[in-house]
Amino acid sequence: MRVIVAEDSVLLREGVARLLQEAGHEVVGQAGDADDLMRKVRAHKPDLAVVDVRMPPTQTDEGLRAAKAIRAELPGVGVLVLSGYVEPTYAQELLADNAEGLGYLLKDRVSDISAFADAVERVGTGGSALDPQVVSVLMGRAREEDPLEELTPREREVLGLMAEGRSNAAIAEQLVVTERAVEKHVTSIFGKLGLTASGEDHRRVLAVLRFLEA
Amino acid sequence: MRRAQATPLRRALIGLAVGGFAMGSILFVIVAKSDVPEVPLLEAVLTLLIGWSFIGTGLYAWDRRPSNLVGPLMVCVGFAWFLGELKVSDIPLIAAIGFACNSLAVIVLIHLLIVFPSGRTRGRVDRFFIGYAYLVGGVVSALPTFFYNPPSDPDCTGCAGSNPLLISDNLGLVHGIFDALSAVSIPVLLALVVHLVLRARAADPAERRSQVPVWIAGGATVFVFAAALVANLTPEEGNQDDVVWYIANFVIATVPYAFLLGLLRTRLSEADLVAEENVRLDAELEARLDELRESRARIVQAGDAARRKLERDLHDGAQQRLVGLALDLRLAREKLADDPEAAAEMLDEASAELARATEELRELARGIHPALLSDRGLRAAVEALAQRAPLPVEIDASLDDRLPAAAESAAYFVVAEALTNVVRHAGAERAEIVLVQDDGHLLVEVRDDGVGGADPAGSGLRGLADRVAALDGSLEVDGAGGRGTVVKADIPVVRSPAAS
Repeated sequence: MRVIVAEDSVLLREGVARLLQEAGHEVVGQAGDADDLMRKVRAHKPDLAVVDVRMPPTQTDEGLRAAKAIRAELPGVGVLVLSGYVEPTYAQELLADNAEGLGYLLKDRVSDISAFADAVERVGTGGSALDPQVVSVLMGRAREEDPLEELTPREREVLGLMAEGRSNAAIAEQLVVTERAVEKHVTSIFGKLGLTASGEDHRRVLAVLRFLEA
Repeated sequence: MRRAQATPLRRALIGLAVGGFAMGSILFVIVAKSDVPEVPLLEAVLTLLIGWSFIGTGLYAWDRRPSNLVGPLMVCVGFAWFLGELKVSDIPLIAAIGFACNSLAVIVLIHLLIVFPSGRTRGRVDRFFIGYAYLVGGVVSALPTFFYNPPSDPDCTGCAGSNPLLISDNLGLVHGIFDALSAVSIPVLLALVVHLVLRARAADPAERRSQVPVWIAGGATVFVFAAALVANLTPEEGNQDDVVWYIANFVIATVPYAFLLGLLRTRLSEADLVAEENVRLDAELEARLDELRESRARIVQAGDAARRKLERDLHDGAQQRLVGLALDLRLAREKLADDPEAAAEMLDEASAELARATEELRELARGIHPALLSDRGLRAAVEALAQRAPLPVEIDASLDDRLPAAAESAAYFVVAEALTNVVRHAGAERAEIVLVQDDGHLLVEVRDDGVGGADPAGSGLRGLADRVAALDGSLEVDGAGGRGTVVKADIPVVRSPAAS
């Protein structure tokens, strides 16, 4: 997979690049700010851009804006945003109405090499990745009438993993159950929550997220 | 916000009142125990009545019309009256002082009559009378003090012992000075009465209405004193002098009330109104300044406290973890050759510890200032707060766009602190946040359905109030009645360059 890494801290940028290379990907470019990133993405048309939220010159949300620009201009390029903040708002903004080829992870997630590699793989091939902590904030929200109350603990677990963007196979592996069992859980969850079942992982993510936001 | 405040003026007036009360009480004892007056108790009561009347009404007038000289002059008359009465003391030095100050009260009273009701002189005639009164009445009439020795006065029965201020014992000179003074002053006093009567007749009806009581009392006083002086000049016949003197005293006791009535009936001129307003505004400003100084000090203290807490959190939290981590890594490195499995386990532990340190730092940074607030504004940041609250929080926000950073951040911290309190103390089922932008104001309201009883003076809420006050806003906490707590902030939104 061809990847561009945009991150203003050289240390972290090199680290991420090395991780990606070790995972067998090709880092075709590194950028220190959003303009640089846009130039390199246009030039290389990579499979994936790994983008830091905070970058020069304003150190606010350049990365998010660049990510949106890439999505609009080059829909084929997957964007994995690395953020220092556990704020669902940013993730929700980014995912808006299309979770295809999009990811929002906390920066420290890169230290969990296998999980990071997994997310890179998913987003680079058109799937989704949402940080588990962001998902847990959304799932943990207190609501007047919490529809999640109807779910069994196992079903909640499955719902969280779905929101993170994992496929049934990945969920099965994680929970050490059969894929068949996961499918049953998913059907039950969708039934209880009144969601329309959908086979495609990224559309499933959107459905779950919309539900969690509501 | 107009409430009676302990302004410096008020404090001074209260001090004067206390002083007047004390001096009056002392004088009462001095006069009542004195051997000089023929009816000591009556004279003591009269002294007290006159002195306190002037001081009391004067203080009231001073408070009501702080920029007008009438109030202070009335207070002066009262104190001068007490000073003059010292002359009957049995202690020679005190009696001598009283003797020297004998005419002071009348002089100030004349000054008062002339400048009433505006407190200002009108023309040279006014200034002549005032100057004459102070020079002749104040200075010249004090001269006999140095030549008068009570024991050598045959008229003075039961007078105090010899005068310690005596320069030369010359009763003839004393009588000479008094006679000359009386002879010169009678025409001047009569001229003053004429002057004042002419002025009263020239006054327009509205003015006259407010001045009538004063003219009656004041004119009568001047007349009685002139009569007393005449009686002084004419040969002694029985106790005629004393009778005139007591009548004069009664008349003079009515004067302060007439002054007060007249002053309060006087419609203030434009200039006076402005002056009054200025004095009031000054007092208000002073009080506000005090408040500001206090709140500024509290803000600085709160900042210090916050930094100390931050330092502790960093030191005890992330820094400790990182130090431990460095140690773990070093140990793992040593184990690597002998026991790779144990080393791997230690490295896993180190990773987990590192994740916790990162998490802690992230939360710490978020608490200092959430990035969401600067990036996405108040509504998004408040929604994020609500999302994390362990109870359902409903948000009703009508904000059109981004507000000045200072206002957004004050509002954010009001909501954050209020929500923290709801979670910690209220035992609430749900909470509601309202954010309304209205006519240059940002209104923030956080209400819950908990037990109430929040303490607005608690450090958290106090700090918030200071923060909001620094932007000229106000914070209200209503937690009484057991029907939940409502925290309301009104934050002015000024879009000037200075505010952003």
